[in-house]
Amino acid sequence: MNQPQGQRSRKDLACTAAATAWQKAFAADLQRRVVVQGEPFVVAQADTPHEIFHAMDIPLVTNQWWSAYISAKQLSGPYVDAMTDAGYPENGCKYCSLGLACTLANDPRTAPWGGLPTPTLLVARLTCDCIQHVFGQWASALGTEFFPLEAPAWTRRDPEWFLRSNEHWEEVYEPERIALLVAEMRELITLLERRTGRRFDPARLQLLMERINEQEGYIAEISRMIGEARPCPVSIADQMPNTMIPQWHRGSEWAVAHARRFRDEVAARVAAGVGAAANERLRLMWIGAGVWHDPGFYQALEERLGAVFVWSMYLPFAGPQYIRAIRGRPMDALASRICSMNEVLHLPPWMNGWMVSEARRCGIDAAVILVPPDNRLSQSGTKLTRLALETAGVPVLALDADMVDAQNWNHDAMVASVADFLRGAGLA
Amino acid sequence: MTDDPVASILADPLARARAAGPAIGYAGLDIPEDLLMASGRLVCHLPWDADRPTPTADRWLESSFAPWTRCVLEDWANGRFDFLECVIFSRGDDSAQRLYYYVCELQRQGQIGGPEPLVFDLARIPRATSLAHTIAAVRRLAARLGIDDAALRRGIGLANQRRRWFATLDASRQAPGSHYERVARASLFAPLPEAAVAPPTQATPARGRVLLAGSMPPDDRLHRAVEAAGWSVMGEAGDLSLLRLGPEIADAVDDPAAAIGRHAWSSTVGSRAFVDRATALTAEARRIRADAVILWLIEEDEAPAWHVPAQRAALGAAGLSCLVMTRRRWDAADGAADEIGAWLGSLER
Repeated sequence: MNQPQGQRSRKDLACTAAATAWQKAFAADLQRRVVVQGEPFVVAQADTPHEIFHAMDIPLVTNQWWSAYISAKQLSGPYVDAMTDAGYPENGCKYCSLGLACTLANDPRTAPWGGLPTPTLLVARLTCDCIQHVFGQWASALGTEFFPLEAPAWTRRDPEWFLRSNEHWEEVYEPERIALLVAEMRELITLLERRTGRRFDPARLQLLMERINEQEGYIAEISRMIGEARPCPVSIADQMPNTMIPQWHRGSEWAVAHARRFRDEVAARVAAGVGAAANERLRLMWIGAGVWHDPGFYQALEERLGAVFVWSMYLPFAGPQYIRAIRGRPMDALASRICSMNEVLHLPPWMNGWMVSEARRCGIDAAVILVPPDNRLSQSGTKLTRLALETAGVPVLALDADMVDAQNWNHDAMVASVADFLRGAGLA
Repeated sequence: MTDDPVASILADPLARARAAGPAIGYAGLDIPEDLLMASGRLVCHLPWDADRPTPTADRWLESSFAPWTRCVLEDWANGRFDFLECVIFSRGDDSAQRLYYYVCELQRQGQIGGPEPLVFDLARIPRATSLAHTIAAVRRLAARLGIDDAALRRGIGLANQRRRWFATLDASRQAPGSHYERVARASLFAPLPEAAVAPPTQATPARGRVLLAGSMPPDDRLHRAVEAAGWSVMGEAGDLSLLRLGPEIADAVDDPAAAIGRHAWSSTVGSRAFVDRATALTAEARRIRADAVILWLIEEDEAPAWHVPAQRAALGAAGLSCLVMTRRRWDAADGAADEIGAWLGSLER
């Protein structure tokens, strides 16, 4: 077994340090609120309506953030081993289950925050067969309740969904699917009000939705700049934290202000002709979740080959999937944002349709696609997307690796495989 | 074709559908039998063959797809299902629902042809909104297939007949377990009248009674492995059990679509059913008076694997011997039969 060999990434933007510092302070505050003060809080998947919790001022621990947090502390290996020792097969999805593993390992000495206290609820959309089992067991282990959300079928299969999703969301995402999630959210609100004593204020949600539109508008602007500018003004090592940290707090005053600051800083770099790399020759696309245990991977070939990862889903996703014409129906608009968040990233025709369009828009020379061997949800759609990109003239390398489990990752070998692929494709 | 209708169906699972005129295919074992039987067409689950290579499907499907989907997509690409009017995929099973989207996309791209794909949007969360969604899904599919309430009632009646027959068959097992596996499997592909299935002429003695649990095997190869050791599978705790159709639907007079939807929503079949799997497995082992339990899970079957520790503990607490086989090959070409034989042999010592 390889030892984790993750390398740090280089950050070029001043706002990146500000974002990470803010997130660190937020994590400390969150820990204080839920661990020290015992405030009610929720653990939820990334593709759930966080806006409900924000509008009710209920602290939120996002499962994927918690998994990345565990992974960044080099604890994924021991926790995976703990699951195996407890009799779970080794091929379970790590991204969704590291939090469960941390709870089952029950080792306050090593666990972040000494382990999670008991949340008010666990919330997840059932986007694959495993989630209800992982979250059901996690809820039992934490002594709380799991509130699942359906992920209904989607028969309006428009590969160019991203062109109409902001304005014509009811048509794109289907009225019945939106109505189901609205009904589920209303039940969730009732349950949260009963459990926490906090009230849901529709006016606050309306305001939050308006601010989110402003925030995501700045991110969409950056996305356009990255697509057009040569060289790329900002690498994905800066894109990811400046998009995702505000995304966890979407609609807050800080998040909106930070997105604006990020936009301004990128615009200044574009105006000055500053690139993420000194010698940009190849523009690469990263498809999949971030390799959280080795952020330096993305910049490893900039100097040697001029190969720059200019595209990762987090930033360009904000425009089409978050911005919504509210039209006095904030709950419906919110449901349309959430009810296909996973589907458009992992199922044909939405995934491949969007990826090909983005590759064209951003002048992508080659793509690297993450295929986690034990994660059906994240694997899904990768082969058809690869074929679609190749048909569009974009060579693709598939990497069999996990985003949070570092045990089968070797930095040097992975970087070498990308270099070999680029040479083999005649690009380097 | 042979005189044995079960063997005949399994030798060419599509033969009767091809000859029937209008025929409907389906993929997913949680699509309501009542709705299928109400259609007035011959209905046939898309067949599979665990031992056939699938080079075309392998270009499109990732490694975590259930192996049966590879056979299905390979056959679809080869035009084997072109004669079907449409194919219904279940949303209650991850592989089936993803296959639906892949087939739709491959058709859009012109890479494959074949029948129109439809989806049965089964919701399983124990909540009124999910129940209503499932009932609406039944109504939508019934309308698409031109099935009215009278036909739905007829379908429920036919499905109830099958439920009664399968329950009787299961309760009176005398033949080796592989016989019942073949009956259950053959019933997916073509009409299988009760009278056509010859009852076993005499009881077959076995050294012990086995409950086979976990993933759906491709055929009776695991049953035969048990029989080779002198034991017999007396029940299956899996999606292709003889009891998979659940209890009879008795409240279908006023609103048969609602009755079918409620039945599907509350079914215990499928990886997305909300059920205490440890308690259910132990109860089933006790019900069939099992001497041993084999819990066999294939590599791609991730969801039930989350319950292995609890199931193992529950069976242990009940004093039941259990062979746990996880991350196995679907075709069992990984020595599964030998392991089963050796383990059953060890129980006799």
